[in-house]
Amino acid sequence: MNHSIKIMTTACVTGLLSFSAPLTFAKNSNAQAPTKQASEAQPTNDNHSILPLEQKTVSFTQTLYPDDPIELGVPGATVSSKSYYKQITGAALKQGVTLNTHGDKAVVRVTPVKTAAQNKTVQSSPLTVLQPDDLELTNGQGQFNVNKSGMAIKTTSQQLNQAHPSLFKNTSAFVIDKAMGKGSFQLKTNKAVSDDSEFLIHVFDKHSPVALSLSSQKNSLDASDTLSVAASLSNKKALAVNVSKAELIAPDGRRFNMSVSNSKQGTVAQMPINFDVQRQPGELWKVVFHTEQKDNSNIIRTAELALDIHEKTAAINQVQQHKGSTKVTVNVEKPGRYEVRAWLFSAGKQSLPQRVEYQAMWLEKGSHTFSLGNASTAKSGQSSVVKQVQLMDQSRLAVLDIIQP
Amino acid sequence: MRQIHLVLLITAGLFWGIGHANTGVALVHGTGSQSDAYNDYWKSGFVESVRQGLSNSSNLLVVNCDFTKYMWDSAAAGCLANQLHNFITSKNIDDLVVITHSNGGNVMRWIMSNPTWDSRYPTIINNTRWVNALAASSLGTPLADAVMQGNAFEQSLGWLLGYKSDAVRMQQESWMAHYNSSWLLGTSGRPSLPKGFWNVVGTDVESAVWDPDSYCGGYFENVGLETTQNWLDSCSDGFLNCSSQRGAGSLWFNDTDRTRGDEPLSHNQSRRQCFNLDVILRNDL
Repeated sequence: MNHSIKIMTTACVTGLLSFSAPLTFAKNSNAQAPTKQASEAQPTNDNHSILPLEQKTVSFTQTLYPDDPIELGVPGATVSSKSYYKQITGAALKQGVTLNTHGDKAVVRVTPVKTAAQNKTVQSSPLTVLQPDDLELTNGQGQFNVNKSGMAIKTTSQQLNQAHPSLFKNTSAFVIDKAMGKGSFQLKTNKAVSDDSEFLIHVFDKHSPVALSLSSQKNSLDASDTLSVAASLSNKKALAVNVSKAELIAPDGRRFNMSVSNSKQGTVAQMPINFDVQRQPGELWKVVFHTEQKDNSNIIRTAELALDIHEKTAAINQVQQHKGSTKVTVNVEKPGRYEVRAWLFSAGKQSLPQRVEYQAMWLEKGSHTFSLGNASTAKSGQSSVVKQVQLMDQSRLAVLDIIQP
Repeated sequence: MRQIHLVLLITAGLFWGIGHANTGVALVHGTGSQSDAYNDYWKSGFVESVRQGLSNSSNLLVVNCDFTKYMWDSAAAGCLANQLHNFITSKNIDDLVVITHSNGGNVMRWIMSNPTWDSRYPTIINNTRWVNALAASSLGTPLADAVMQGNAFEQSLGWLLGYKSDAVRMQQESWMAHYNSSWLLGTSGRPSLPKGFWNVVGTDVESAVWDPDSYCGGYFENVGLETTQNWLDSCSDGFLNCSSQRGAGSLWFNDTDRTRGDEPLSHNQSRRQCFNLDVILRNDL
């Protein structure tokens, strides 16, 4: 199906009461307002980390395209990285720090960071920004002042700040000149930085073929799950565990060490979810995996995988489909605004995507039933089957359940 | 392809007996908090040029919201929904074209992907013709990862540095992958968005000192963007890989296929009156 047809069909999204009308354009349709009911529910006292959402019930129907390559099931998460970073002191930078690269023309970024002591003072001393002119890089080819040598790109903090004021306020960067090749380098500064100042050195080994990949079978977890993240370097099944470290970092900064082990499936970092999982709505946790392989390649990589770990505030209890409508019963533990989505496909042998029915409402603790679809869908003559039902906690931004009845 | 769509829309409009859609256009800025996006983010020349495509020139809205926040925040999507809803209902707009830049595309996609989140969302969706997404950060950017990685202080202290916002945090690639697979529509494997999301993709940055084109949108900004391309793929606009800009919805065009002189649009130029972009957008209304 080409895109011109898609535009025609995408425009047919209407409110719940009009969704059985023939396919038409939204601007031309007689779409009625979606179902809204003023809720009498009052805000809960348990307002920790709850978004201030309205309490009206809202329903919506979205037509799907038969050829939409929709993937059902619980989504996983993957990430790969060709970079690493290290935080060092001013004293170490004056002495020289070792940077390993596996490919030519690695990108190096130097950023001053506030020390813990600086963060405690109201008026802390300004950060010492290092410019390319302040840096020297040494390897078997000799010693190079970053600014005066043949470095392919030298960027001052001012230039980066002009390009992305919201990103690179104090950072400067350079690309290691191709003539210097790859391998082990010493980076040092001749600037009189204080010994206890701190800098973040970020190395992006862009032209190396080797990436560190992390993957989790689920991108959203709760206390009933065990966090398990597989780690691998390109073309290398198992990593040396003794030089690998994995941490889970909460959105609020709490850190948890994960155990790293090798099995037949490869290297895995694991930990049970037996800690407080409260977080601000939508904020993600991250698994930070760092490895420094001590072999011929001396590959160093850091990868960060974002995951949601949330409180299980509700669960789907039952799904029933009858005459074009879908009833989903949920058990709610904590009051909030919840949404159910039902993914409907055509009945029969060649089951194709038909529509998604949405409904959201404010719910108190207890058992509640969502009724998706209406008489229009029942009369539409389109027989359909529910292929997937999803329960979302909108107040806390969590995907609670994905089931395929 | 878009011409075909337009013909189909017009034909269908006639078929349904409605030939006078009330067209409006809304410009939605990217990351940052705006109080005068007309002058500060888009510049008047760009906005006024786009306005010329409207039969009723007053049907133009320049959105001002706080997109330093997460896309679902009331200051972000809530603010955007409020301004769009007021615009639609006060002016009886039933054919809204939304032009977004960068992270503005994500905030608009939040509204289109979560129709039950807010009772105003269905009205906005139903009255939108399509979204023209200029350099949308649909899959995030490695630059956000670069500045967030190694942030030993995390949220509680790192924010004191003053250059990391919720929006930057959200646009890390791994974070956007999560939101795309759980909360947003339009990416691979997910249902399409309820309305078209048409991408204009910036493919390169030029900052040669002798080239006048390098000065459109600001020479020094383009120099910086060319540098940050080192963190990005060979196809990028200095802030976003092309893959991110094409990550949700459908490709409308790559910059060099339609711009004057086949010029690429850097991330700064894709919101400015550069290389006929404003005319292309105007003619789309």
